[in-house]
Amino acid sequence: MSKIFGVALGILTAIGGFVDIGDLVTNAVVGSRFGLSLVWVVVVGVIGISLFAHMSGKVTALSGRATFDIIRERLGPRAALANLTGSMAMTLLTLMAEIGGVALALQLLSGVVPVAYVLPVALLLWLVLWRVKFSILENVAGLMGLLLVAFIVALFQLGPDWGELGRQVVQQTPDTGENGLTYAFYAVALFGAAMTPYEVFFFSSGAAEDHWTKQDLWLSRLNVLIGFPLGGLLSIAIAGCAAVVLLPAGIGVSSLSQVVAPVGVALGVAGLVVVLVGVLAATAGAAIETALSCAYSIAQFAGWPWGKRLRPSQAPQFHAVLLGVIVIGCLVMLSGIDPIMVTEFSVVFSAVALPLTYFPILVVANDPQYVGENTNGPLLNLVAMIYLVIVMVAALAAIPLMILTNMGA
Amino acid sequence: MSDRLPRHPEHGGRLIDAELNLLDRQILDRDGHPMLAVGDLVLERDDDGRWTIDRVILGSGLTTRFFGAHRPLATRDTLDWHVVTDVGYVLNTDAERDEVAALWRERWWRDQVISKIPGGNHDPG
Amino acid sequence: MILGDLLGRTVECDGRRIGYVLDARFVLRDGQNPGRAPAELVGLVIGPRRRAAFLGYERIGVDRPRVISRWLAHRHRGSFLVDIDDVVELDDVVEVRSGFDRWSPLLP
Repeated sequence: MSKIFGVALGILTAIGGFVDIGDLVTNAVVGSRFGLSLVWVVVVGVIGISLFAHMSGKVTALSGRATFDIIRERLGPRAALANLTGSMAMTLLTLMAEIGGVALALQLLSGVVPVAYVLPVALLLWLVLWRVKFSILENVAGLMGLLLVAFIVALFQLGPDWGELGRQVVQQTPDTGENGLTYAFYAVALFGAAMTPYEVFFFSSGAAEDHWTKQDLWLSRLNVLIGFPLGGLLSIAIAGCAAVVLLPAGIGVSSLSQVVAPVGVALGVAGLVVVLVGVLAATAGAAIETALSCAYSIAQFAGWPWGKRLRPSQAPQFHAVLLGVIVIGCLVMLSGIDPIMVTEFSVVFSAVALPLTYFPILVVANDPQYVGENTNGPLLNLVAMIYLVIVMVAALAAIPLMILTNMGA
Repeated sequence: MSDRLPRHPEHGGRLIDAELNLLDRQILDRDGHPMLAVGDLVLERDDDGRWTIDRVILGSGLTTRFFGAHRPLATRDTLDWHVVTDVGYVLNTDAERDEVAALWRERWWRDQVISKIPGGNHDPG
Repeated sequence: MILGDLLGRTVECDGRRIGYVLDARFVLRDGQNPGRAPAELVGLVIGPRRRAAFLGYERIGVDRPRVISRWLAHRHRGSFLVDIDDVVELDDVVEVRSGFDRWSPLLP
């Protein structure tokens, strides 16, 4: 009985934990401008992140080594350091966006300007990371994030023309007068939002925190195969709501209030409150994950002891980094910089940083020294290689597209 | 490619390659906790003229190299090879953590910062 | 001698460069568990490119995904193992005696 509970908890957490501020903003922006014509990117992204998370979870469960430990060992310290710098910059940027996201949600719930919330949020974030057990962190944030299901409920409540929505999905090109370059830019941004590298550092290190062994691999597969696609459905619902409410009215998305407005339209104030609590939980959960991912990456690269499962005094440098990144994130957001803008940059840079970690994990998932006889099967390798190409193309195209389209303007 | 070359005859023991199996590997202490990574190896010649691994240099030394200095061969940054108990995807040792001089930075953070914050010594959760 | 200084050194035979030191092979004579066993240098892996990353391929029989493995094999064709007894000098330049044997660099 408790095993079923554990499985259900894992899946629910994966669903609720899938969406972060990057997914919320990017899907809403895309829905309001392109309708559902970019849903195929979400599908591609969900398959990609499932693949990536599965491979890295497998490697950690079977070898006990987590992502950056492996990268240092495979690529050597110099290449690994370059890799770390790129990945860290991206994860830190995402942490800032998530802190901003929490503050924005609190603003909409209370009417107080977001900047006022940055310091308390950062402080609370650190306190929670200092004292609360890993499994509780994982589960609470993930479960409360399920409140985002309000988007799915809202979409049905709005009574849209399903045939029309379906047509947009299949047609894959928008009816609106958007040009090809902007379409390509948002495809890359949406891909970066769905396939975030920090998710993998967290998943892989979390596997070690939860003491996964070979027996737990099936659980990992279940979480990934059910949890992530359902999380992807949430993303699509966010875009769908925007497509139904914002697109026809020509309303653009430049703030969180526009992202959640469709839910207010469909379900009234009660629905709005529910979804905002969901946003709060999802972004807070993501803030926890990104802060931990920064600390995991640096500690694993350097060879220091790491993890929430140790006493802080047993992993002092890990905790010092954790404190440090939260301080940096807090200071930057205190400048009053627009969290939505930070979010948009973070998803683009996610796409750029993706190959750095994807490639070594792919290599190691095939290495018997790490995974014994559980090396990737030929089908998995085929798909993984296709994704290697996709990931590299996205990484190379991201910045040029960002410049050419002026951030998708 | 290299399959066409003949295999070298047996040496009578387990073979490991420095770059492939040793360098940059995580080192674990007696309790299995991580203790920096293998930065380099110090080889010494014995009386018969054979080279053997004498010491393991801890840490990548990247910080030192970044500031221009060549890595100093201070003994405090090394572990004797004979404390290594197993070579797998990590190097297991029976080194006692508090006796490893190279971990001074970790001890500094522990004693000067982390232990001073309330809850620093508590069990997790 | 520090191993890191040895890696990447030019290897010569009869005054001609034959490659660079890519790796150093050691034997642990007390069988499977190295526990206190001395690690003795028995060979050098030499290759056409200085400091190339094998990424684990072609050394321990890992050959998947095939595309990556073939690309790396192509980059490192011409690598071989040299027995330490064929090494005359281990100085700024590694000198190998003429008529040395080329062995497979694959780690068994």
